[in-house]
Formats: sequence, C-alpha cells, structure tokens
Amino acid sequence: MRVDKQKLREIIRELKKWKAHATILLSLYVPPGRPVSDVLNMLRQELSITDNIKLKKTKSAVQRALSMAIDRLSKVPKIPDKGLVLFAGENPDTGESIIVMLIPPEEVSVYYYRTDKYFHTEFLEEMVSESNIIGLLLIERDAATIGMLKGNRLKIVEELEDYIPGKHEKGGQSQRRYDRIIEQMVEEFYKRVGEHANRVFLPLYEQGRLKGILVGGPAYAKYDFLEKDYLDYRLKKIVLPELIDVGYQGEAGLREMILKAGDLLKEQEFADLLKYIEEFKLHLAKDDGLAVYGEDEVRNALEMGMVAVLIISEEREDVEKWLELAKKGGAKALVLSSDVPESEWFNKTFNGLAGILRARIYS
Amino acid sequence: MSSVPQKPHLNLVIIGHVDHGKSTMVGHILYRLGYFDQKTLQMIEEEAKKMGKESFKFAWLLDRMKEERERGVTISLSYMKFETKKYFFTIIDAPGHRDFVKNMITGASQADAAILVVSARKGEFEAGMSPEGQTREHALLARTMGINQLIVAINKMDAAEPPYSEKRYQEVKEVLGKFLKSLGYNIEKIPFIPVSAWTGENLIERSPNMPWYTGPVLVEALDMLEVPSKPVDKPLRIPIQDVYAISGVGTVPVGRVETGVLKVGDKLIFNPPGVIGEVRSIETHHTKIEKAEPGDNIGFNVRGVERKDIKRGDVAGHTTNPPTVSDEFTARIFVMWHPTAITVGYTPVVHVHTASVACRITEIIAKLDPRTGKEVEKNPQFLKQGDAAIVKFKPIKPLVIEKYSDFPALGRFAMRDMGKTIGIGQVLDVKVLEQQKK
Ligand SMILES: Nc1nc2c(ncn2[C@@H]2O[C@H](COP(=O)(O)OP(=O)(O)OP(=O)(O)O)[C@@H](O)[C@H]2O)c(=O)[nH]1
Ligand SMILES: [Mg+2]
Repeated sequence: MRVDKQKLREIIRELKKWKAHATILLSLYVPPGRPVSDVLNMLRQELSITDNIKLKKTKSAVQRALSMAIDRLSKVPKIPDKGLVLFAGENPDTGESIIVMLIPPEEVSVYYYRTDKYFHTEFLEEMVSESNIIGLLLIERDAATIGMLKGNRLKIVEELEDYIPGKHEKGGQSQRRYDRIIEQMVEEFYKRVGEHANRVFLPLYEQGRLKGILVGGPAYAKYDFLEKDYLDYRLKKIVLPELIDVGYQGEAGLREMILKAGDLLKEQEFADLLKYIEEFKLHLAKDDGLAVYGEDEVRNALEMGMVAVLIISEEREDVEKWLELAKKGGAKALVLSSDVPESEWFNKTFNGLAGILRARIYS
Repeated sequence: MSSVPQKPHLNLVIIGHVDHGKSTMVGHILYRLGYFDQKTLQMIEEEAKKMGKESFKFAWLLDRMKEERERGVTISLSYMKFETKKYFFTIIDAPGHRDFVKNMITGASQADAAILVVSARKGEFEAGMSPEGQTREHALLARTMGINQLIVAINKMDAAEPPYSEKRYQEVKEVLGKFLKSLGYNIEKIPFIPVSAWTGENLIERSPNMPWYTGPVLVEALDMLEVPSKPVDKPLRIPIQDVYAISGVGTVPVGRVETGVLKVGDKLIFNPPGVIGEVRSIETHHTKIEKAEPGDNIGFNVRGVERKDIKRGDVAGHTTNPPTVSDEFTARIFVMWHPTAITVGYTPVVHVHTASVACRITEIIAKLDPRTGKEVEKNPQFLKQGDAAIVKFKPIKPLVIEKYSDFPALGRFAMRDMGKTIGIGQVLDVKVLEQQKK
C-alpha cells in the first residue's frame, strides 16, 4: 500500500512503540529495481541460519518474523517504483504480532535488512522530516555549537572547542608576536567552524530543506565570523537578518538563542514550544485561571473554542485525536517532544496534555 | 621583584558594568607604579590614536586581543601582578559586558577581595544599577562566589556633572550602599572612593579637586584589606583557570589553590577527566616556589599530563583524596529572578569555582521559608522568583562540585539563564559518579 507523509508519520509513531529484549524485530528496505526473488532468497537464507540462535524464545520469534515477511513478500509481483519497506515482529510478552508493508512517499535508496531490539524507522523518518529546517550556529573565539531546528525537535550536531591561550603575561614589546599568534589561532578556529558548518548545512540547502540559519554568540565574534568568507556564500545569504547575543554554548546556549530570536523564528514548532511552555508555566504560577489541564477540562474548553494554544505530548497514544479537536476548536496545537527540558515534568504532571485559554472559563 | 615573595598574597578582582573604567583603572595604577614603562604606553597610545580610540590607551595595556581593541571592551580575564607596601596582589581585570559575565564569575571565584568600579557619569551609573545592569549583577555574583571584602571606586569623577561633584558622589554612594547592604555586605566596612581612572586622581595620590573627600585613596584602601584564613589542613583542591603548553617546560595548568597544600613531587589527579600527573615545579609571581598554599595563584608544571587532557573548570587534587565528580547533587537555592516558573526539567547553567555546566533540576524536594529556612511545602510543582528551596540537580556533563560544608569555595554556585543570574545556591550533598567510585 502506498502511504502519504501524514499516514507515514502515524505508522512511524506506532512502530517506535515496539521494543524487544532480544534482536527479534525485523526491518527491511528494498529499493526499486531489485528482483523480488533476490530479496526472498536473502530472507530464506536468513531463516536457514536462525538455527544457530541459542535462546529458544528468541529463535522462534525471529523465525516467525521472517516467515511473515517471506509470506507477505511472495505475493508482490514486482518492487514498486518507490521501493518497498517492510517491518515484522512480535511482542514476546503479549504474543501480539505486527506486520507492516508499505510503499513510501519517497524513493527508498538503500537495500537494508536488520533484526534488532527495535524497528529501524530512521530512513522513513528522513522522508517525513521537515522541509522547513533552520540551522543554528553559536560562535565565539574559542568555542562553537552547530545545531538545527527540525519541526518540534532541537538537534545539536556538533560542539567545537579550541584552545586559545588566555592573557597571563604582562603586555609589552615581547608580547606582541605572541599576541599575533593567538589571533591567528582564532582565525584558524573560525575557519574550522566554517568548514564544519558548511558540511552540515550545505547538503540540506541543496535539498531545498534549509530555510535559514540563525547565528548567535557573545558580543562581537559572530560579526567577525560572518564578515569574512568562513561560511559558504550560499549559506551566508540565508543567515537570518538579526544576530542574537547569547553568552553560552551547547544546548543551553541554543535554547537561549531560540527564545531570544522571537519573531525571526515564526512558524517554527520548537521555538513555539519553548515559548508556550514558558507561558503555560507563567499562568500556572500566577494562578490566573488561564492554564487548563485534565482531559475533560481540556476537551470542554476546546469544544467551547476557548483554547488559544494546546500542547500535546508526542508520547500520548491519541495525539491525532487531539490535533483534530484542536483544529475544530480553532486552537494552535503543538506536539511536545522530549527535546524540551520540561517535557518529563509536563508528561508526569499533566498527563501530557494542557493548554492556555483565551480567557478564564472556570472560576 | 624576583625574590621569594615575603609579603602576604591577595587575589583582587576588578568588577563592574561595561565601560565604567575597570581596565583603565588597572592600567593606570600599574603604569604609575612602574609596571609598564613610558615607551610601552607611548607605543600603545599611538596605535590607539590610529584607530581613533585614544581614550582606551590605559585599558589597552590589558585589553590586548584584536576583538577587544577594535570594540573597546574587555572579553577575557587579565591577570597582573603588583605589590603595595603591605601585599603582593594578583589583580584580575574582569569584563563588564553582559555576554561575558561567565568569564567574570571565573575571576570572582578566584578572588579574596573585589574593587567594584562604578561610573559617576550621568546615565552610566543608572545603567549599571538598572535591573539588567552589571553593577548589580556583579555585586551579587561576587557575594555569591564568596568575596566578603569590597572596595567601591566611584569613577569618572572628572566627568561628573559638575566635575568632581560631592553631591553626585553622595548620591551614588547612597543608592549603591543600600543595594550592597541588601546583599548582606557590611557597608560600614566598605570604602567608597571617588576617583578618576583617566586622570589618576585618588588612585595613588590624593586629588586636589576633591578636598571634601577625607577617606583613603585607592592604594591605601588596598592595604587595609585583610588576608583571609588559609584552610591548609583540608584536602588539596585547585580549580583550573587555564592551561598552557610552554615549550621546553611542558604542561602548565594555572589556578588558585583553594584548600590544602601543594608541593613539588606531589602526585595529582585532575577531575573530571581523571588524568594523573606529577608536579615538577610550582611558580608564582614568576618565582619558583617549593609549596603553594590556599590563596596562592600559581602555575604548576605537571609531568604525564597533556595540555589537551585538561581545561578550565577541572579541579586538581591529590590522588589520595580526589576531587568529587558528581552524578547528582542536592542544594539549597534561592531564586532571585525568573520571569515565569521553575519546574523539574529546568536546566540553567551552574557556575561553581571555575566551571560552568548546565545542570538539570531532577527534583524539587521542598520549598523553604526564605527567612527562617524552615520547610513550608514538600515537592512543590514549581518555584517562583523569591522562593527558597531544596533542589536536586543533575549536571549534563561531568562536573566537580563539593559539599559547601566541606569545601565552601567548591560548593557555592550561581545559576544563569537567558543572559541573567536567576539564582544562587549552596551544595548540601553530592552523589558521587559511579565510574569515580570503584
Ligand atoms: N572621563 C573619564 N573617562 C574614563 C575614566 N575611566 C575610564 N574612562 C573611559 O571609559 C571608557 C571605558 O574604559 P574601560 O577601562 O575600557 O572600561 P571597562 O570597565 O574596562 O570596560 P569593560 O572591560 O569592557 O567592561 C574609555 O573610553 C575610558 O577612557 C575616567 O575616570 N574618566
Ligand atoms: Mg575592561
């Protein structure tokens, strides 16, 4: 069956719930053009060597997964134009089994087979991944952080650090040569950061998925960095028009930059999440009646059209349902990922569901 | 100056809002005391003129980085040695710019005393005292990092309105004094000295332009500082401030001894990385010494350790009693500023000794009455500005932190987020990281 991106997202979410103690969950990716018989042969070959598996429980689980896969695949006359993806396995505790075969919205590019403790959904995730990515770069003279915003996620790609000597000697004639060497070290570091940033961002840019790069860091280094040609000229053109003052590096620095960027990051779900979680906490702390939580209360408020922002944890089973309700109720809906520091608290305390009201409704 | 220092040693950090004249003051004092010759100053003056930054000539004696000179701001800490009648000083010139508060805290963590420089110029004093101002933030951080002795230099008196106005001096003193008192400083003991770092008035010699001021001039006030007691009996702890690789010598970490005694030949461990080396030599004030004590700001050459193995924020101790790497720690905190609420998951940057590491709040154990310290609520859902609490933190990277009661200098910290200091804390308990135990 052919699936669109929306459907694929749901399938991925479902597959990610499956976890096993042994390597019994089968994932298979077949690119177009490969003869079905080849794939079947490979699977049969795999089945024949399962006898080597020592643990009986594991052995039979893997065998069942393989048999299901072979059975399903043997009904396919030809690998479709976009390729084919298949997952099979069972839950050893409940005995419940799962088999999914699909034609993805984008072409499968790798031939990949694995049995593991989880389903390998990463290639599918690539396909549904955001086409609206914002690159993030924090830079100062001896440290840098490269990251990106992808939907409701914040990803740190790299943290770079260099050793630049401090100012420990007294300044004088003899000092000047040394000072110049230090400046060269700083330039070398900027060069390295530029190379790394290009390597991370250019492919995304060429795929047309990188919408902008947000640059920040303490005081002036960021201007010096952008003034020269450390960053590829194509990337330089999409650097967002305002540079952000941020003192720190790493995850803390990136979060601070995103919060401070304000309107520069309009329509970025992660930026919205940070902002609205803060706002939700504020209403909670002020106890002004604008924070709403509890399934019944939230549903009720949504039905009344009183919810301005709805936050739903991606860990909830019924995310789609709430997205639907939010749409009907005219609420802005955000799916909370674990990349937001408060997510664990939010999930535990509010069962992963809460909102901000337009006005108080309960007194 | 090359003989073994006989005078007691003090670490002095210069703090205050951006552009209030810290570097100018340090440069000018050192120049007047003969630590820079006239030729050096002349050369710098010419360079500064060329860049249209003549007013920064004294500051440039310390601000040597290109970025610093082009922009006229200090970015990283400068360490200078000088002596007065009574003391040897390591003077630490801190940056005032808000994006470099992180560096200022490192400097403050190493100091026994501070000079808080505040500009008396119209608007400048007010900017420093605004809620966003660094006069305020630095004073709080100095206090948090354990600096109990403070000197206030009310600077730029030559540029006050009118110049050298006693009225302006009194106004600044009053407003600032009140604030310092609220931080717990004994303001009776703090000299408020009207100076001009630019003209040099009241730095070393008394200014004829301010006859109304009868207190000590700056250098006199320095000699009125006291040497804090030295915890020599405790296990050795040296938070690392920087690491050099000197050709022909080897790896030279620098830092201030907080507790214990370091001797040539000692076997050291640097944590968190856990690398071990042997002390070959110790140096302070460009003089080789056989042993270093609490308060000494030293460079020490270690065999068996590479420069890239260690960095700022690591802590050296004897292998027999290594610095504690924490998996989790419990602390009493006070929330000074937060626009919304602090919940579990919140991850501010924690500054402790020379380290800064983001730490995640994993549990809010209890809310306390800020005045009595008594527990008022167990496991509250959130904390707000003004709340005191007992909280558990998990550092997101390995971090050396100690119980405040064991090692005060390694157990008091500041929390920062969104470019501001949001709170302060003291460590009550530390859970040791598994890999360190064994
Ligand atoms: N008129 C006058 N100007 C001063 C005085 N002290 C400093 N300045 C000027 O103030 C400006 C800033 O001086 P700095 O010494 O760089 O200030 P700072 O506090 O070290 O600044 P940061 O390190 O960047 O926080 C320079 O232009 C100085 O010439 C003073 O006493 N009178
Ligand atoms: Mg300065």
